[in-house]
Amino acid sequence: MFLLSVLLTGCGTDRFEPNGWGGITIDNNKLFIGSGDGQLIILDPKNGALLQSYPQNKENLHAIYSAPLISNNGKTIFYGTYSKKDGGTIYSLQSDTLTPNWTKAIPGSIVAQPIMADNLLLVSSSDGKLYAMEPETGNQKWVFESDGKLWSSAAWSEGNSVFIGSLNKKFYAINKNNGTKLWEFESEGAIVGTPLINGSTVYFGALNKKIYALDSKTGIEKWSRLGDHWYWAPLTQDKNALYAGSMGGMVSALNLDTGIALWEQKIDGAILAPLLLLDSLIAIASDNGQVTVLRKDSGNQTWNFPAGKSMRAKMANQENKIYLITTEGEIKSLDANRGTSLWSLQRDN
Amino acid sequence: MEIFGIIWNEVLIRPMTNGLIILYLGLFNNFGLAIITFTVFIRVLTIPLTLKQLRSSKAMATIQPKVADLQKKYPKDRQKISQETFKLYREAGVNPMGCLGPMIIQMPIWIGLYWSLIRALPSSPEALAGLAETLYSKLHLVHAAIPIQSSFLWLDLAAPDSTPILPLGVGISMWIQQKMMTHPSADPKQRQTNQIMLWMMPVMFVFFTFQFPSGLALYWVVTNTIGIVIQYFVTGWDNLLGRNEPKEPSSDTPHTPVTNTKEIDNGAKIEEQRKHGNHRNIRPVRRRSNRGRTNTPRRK
Repeated sequence: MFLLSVLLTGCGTDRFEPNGWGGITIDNNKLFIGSGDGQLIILDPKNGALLQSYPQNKENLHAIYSAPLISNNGKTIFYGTYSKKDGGTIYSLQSDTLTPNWTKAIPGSIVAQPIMADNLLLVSSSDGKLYAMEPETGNQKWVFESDGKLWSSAAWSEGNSVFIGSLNKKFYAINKNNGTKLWEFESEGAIVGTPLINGSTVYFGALNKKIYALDSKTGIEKWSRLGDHWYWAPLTQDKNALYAGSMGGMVSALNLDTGIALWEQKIDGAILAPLLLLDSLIAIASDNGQVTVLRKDSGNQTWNFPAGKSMRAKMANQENKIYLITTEGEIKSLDANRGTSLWSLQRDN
Repeated sequence: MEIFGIIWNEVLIRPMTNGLIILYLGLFNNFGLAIITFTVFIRVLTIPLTLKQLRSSKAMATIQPKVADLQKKYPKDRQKISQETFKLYREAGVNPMGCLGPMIIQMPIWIGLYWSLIRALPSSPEALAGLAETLYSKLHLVHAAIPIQSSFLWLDLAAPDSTPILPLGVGISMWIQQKMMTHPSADPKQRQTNQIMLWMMPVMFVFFTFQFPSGLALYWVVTNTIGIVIQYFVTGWDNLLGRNEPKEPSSDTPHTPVTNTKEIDNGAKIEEQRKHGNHRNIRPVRRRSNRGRTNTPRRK
């Protein structure tokens, strides 16, 4: 009975293993998909036909949790991988041939998408470091060290400041030129989602159920708002409102200056995937397999599509089509106006 | 099956995970102390059952010779042996299944604690996301506690111990507890089984400890230590120190040669008479003790 209990201990816990959930980027009329199983694939958005994949050999690949980054000139793809045992690896490939430019191993696993900040490639890592690299070579220019895991992407929007939140509840502003800390803000919750910059304000959500708005120059809190559950998904905004989705399934449109709710709508399932803004609509993929589209002005539901499987990855849209990937590797294209399936592709995840 | 999953989650995992985090917050944000306190709490709750099991086990050991006699008395009648054995247990007030009680309680606790540890100390994004559905939404303080600091002394409680300290601690404490619980048996087969169990379980747990998060190993060390203390109050150190080992005659044992030939002759006579059923004239020789005597001559 001792042995049985020890053997049973691990049963059912494989769903907490790092399997990755990937993400989608559209560029140059191609779908670039970081698949959870560690492969980068390129599909034709019209019909889901596989155009290219990397690497060809699927053995010993590590999980991917984010969408690949296509660099400003569209010629280079960057993505990072996650491995508990081996740490993270950042890949740079040529976007037309998928030929590797360089790869770089770093001690901490990579969860978030790398970003470009004025010819600097910024990679956040589970070892608590934000690496700034030359995109052409992968050579390190500087590194910023926090005391908690960095699972969110950094954010940059002109200027010399880069912003990032960490799992140790701290939010940092960092000098883009040399990696020194400009200021830090202690929130009361772990930060997983990518910050959002809008003028002189930087916004982020945290796992203590709060959304924060800080002055981007000083780090002083402008407002904060308590929601119903964890804010994992990054916030998004247009000129009218700040949009947030919580793990309690609450979608909120907030006044950018005050944080007061313009509307709130509860959907079915936790929200981890970034919200997708369409023209007058907002699409939300939830953890219980539902894609829900709401009107941006009112929050009223337009349509709902049962994708069937959990979704945590970044979606993409082009020409009124929504592209998504489930945690089990199924890739779908939906009509953004009608909510009907256009095509579907199942990968082995 | 889904209903079992819901029951498992709602009755064991969620209360345990939330409880551990509350303990963590109350104990200076120290998850190691939270695990230790939780373990002590569980052992205190189960003391009545543990004591009952230990006493039952001790009583069973005392009637083992009688059980062995039954097997000699009815060598081919298994049914009779079973009947008489159960009669013995009944008369002695022993429940042969009594030892299973604490084990049945410990099993879900180990498994539940492992699940709670990997949820409360998430090492992957999936695990952290899974924690969200485990925490009680109305308990704001547990949400603000995330992420839990997993370091305790030299350990990362979410990962196996990188040193042999904790695995050896688990193995040694388990061996001591096992040794204290094992009542020596005169039956050679039983002794062999006891020896195997004494070593096999600790060795296996040392191996497991290298694989599992050190938080679980910490639980094992603490629970074994408490078990040793409880066991001491029931059986003492005798089993551990080998004081209760049954003595067997051995050809290697040196013996004192007999110098009193009168005793030998008399002994042989007595044996001879016993064989022929003549008990009347048997009178064993009484050796006169010199205790308290002096060399004073006897008076006539």
